[in-house]
Amino acid sequence: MLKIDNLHVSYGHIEVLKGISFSVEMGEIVALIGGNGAGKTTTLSTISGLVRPTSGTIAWKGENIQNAAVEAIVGSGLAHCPEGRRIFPGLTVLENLITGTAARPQRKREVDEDLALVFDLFPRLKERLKQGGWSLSGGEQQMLAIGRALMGRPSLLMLDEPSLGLAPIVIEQVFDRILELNKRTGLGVLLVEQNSAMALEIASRAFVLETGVITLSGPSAVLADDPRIREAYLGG
Amino acid sequence: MGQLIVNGLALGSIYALVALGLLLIFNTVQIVNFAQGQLLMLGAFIGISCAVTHELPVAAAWAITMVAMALVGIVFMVLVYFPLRGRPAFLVILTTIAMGIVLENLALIIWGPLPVSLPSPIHGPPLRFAGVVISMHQLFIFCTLAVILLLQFLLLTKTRFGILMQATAQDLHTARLVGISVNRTIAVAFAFGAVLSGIAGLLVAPIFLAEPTMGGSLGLKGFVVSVIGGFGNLPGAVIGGLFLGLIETFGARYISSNFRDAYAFIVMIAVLIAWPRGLFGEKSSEKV
Repeated sequence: MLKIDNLHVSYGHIEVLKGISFSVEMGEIVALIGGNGAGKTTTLSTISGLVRPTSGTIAWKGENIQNAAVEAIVGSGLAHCPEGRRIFPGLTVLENLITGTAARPQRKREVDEDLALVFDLFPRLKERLKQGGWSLSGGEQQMLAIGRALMGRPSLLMLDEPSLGLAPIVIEQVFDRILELNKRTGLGVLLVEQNSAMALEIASRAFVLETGVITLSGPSAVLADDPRIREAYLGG
Repeated sequence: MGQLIVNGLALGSIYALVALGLLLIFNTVQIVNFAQGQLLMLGAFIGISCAVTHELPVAAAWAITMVAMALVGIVFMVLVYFPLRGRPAFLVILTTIAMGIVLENLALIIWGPLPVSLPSPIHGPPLRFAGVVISMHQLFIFCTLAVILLLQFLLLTKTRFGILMQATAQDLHTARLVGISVNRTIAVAFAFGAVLSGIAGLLVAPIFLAEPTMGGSLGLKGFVVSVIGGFGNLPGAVIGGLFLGLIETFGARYISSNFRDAYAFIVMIAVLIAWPRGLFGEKSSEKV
């Protein structure tokens, strides 16, 4: 469904991605793990069109999208839930969710259905409907950020560090919801995480990104037992 | 005394309109448009061209001016903001100043240097109330400001597009990322900002005469009023505008009318000494 081929990205003279290739199939959860500065966020930003690659292709549903406009990419069902959640602080929970519908066709019935789905997954959001985005806790903000991305009716959700700064119990909840969503709706997920243990637990496959190069890849269960991964990312 | 208050509030309403247009653009792209006063002048002259030169009904002149100003706002965005987006803000701000000069000279070529008057859209005997005279035009100014405030409030908070505009203003990067066509929301902000200036021009021209150089001081006062109100705060700008209108009117009556244009800056400096963030400025430096 999503196929990245030999992708190079540079910021000025610094090459951040040095020719990475990977793919995500329909309904699959794939994790991209790696340390700080490995290029994980850049990978997602390039896929969603915020950053332009210097070379390489990004194929999405059979079309090359590396030069498409961001709103066209989002509109075609590729949602990006950014690092640090980036909730609109001056908008209410409901208004934040509405911003997620910006790039999709406005059929009221479908929008209402998706709102119901989001509230079903995250009942907390329904309780906080009229509250300002700034007043939410970190966990609630993460739920809202995911909910906002879901309002675009994506077929693939790119999640950037959803566990960042959250308490372990909240992380557990968020990942449970992501799994449930994947099972219920067949939503594909491309998960970027520094919390590698958690990521390997829910993903079927994973890639390890180190300073712009994919160094390891394979089924999560195999990677979780790999001594190099255990040493570098899972704390021995 | 009562008369001075009415006159001051009428003048202040016009400053408030200029400030609202300025802030609508500023809140969306963080650029102070120093050509806002020249846009006001342009609005006044488009109105005069329609109503005086071509003898159209004043209401039609208003409608044409508003449509024309919306287009001017979009052209302004394409010429000034678009080529320089992503560059340091001061470059764009300098360009708005340059654009103001260009507009002023263009007006001088098209309409000449002589002051012209525009009739008010409504006529009738003034209201008299306890010795205070309120002209129909003053009443019209108050109603226009009230209607615009209401419409702006409804647009920004009750419509889907308004919510997308607010999102763009709060976090441009994330707005793009969630799929908002930010070019469209920014274009609407520029169009709306220019229309508000144009309306201010249509309201000013029947009181003072319109001339190509009228925009400079009015635009600066719109800026001063925004600073007094706490930059970025819309209700603050309206209150700041009314406040400045009163100060100028009373100052001209009781101190000296020669310093009429200086009061704005004296008040701004005094307010900033007492409240560095303006009267209604946000307490934290964080953008909320």
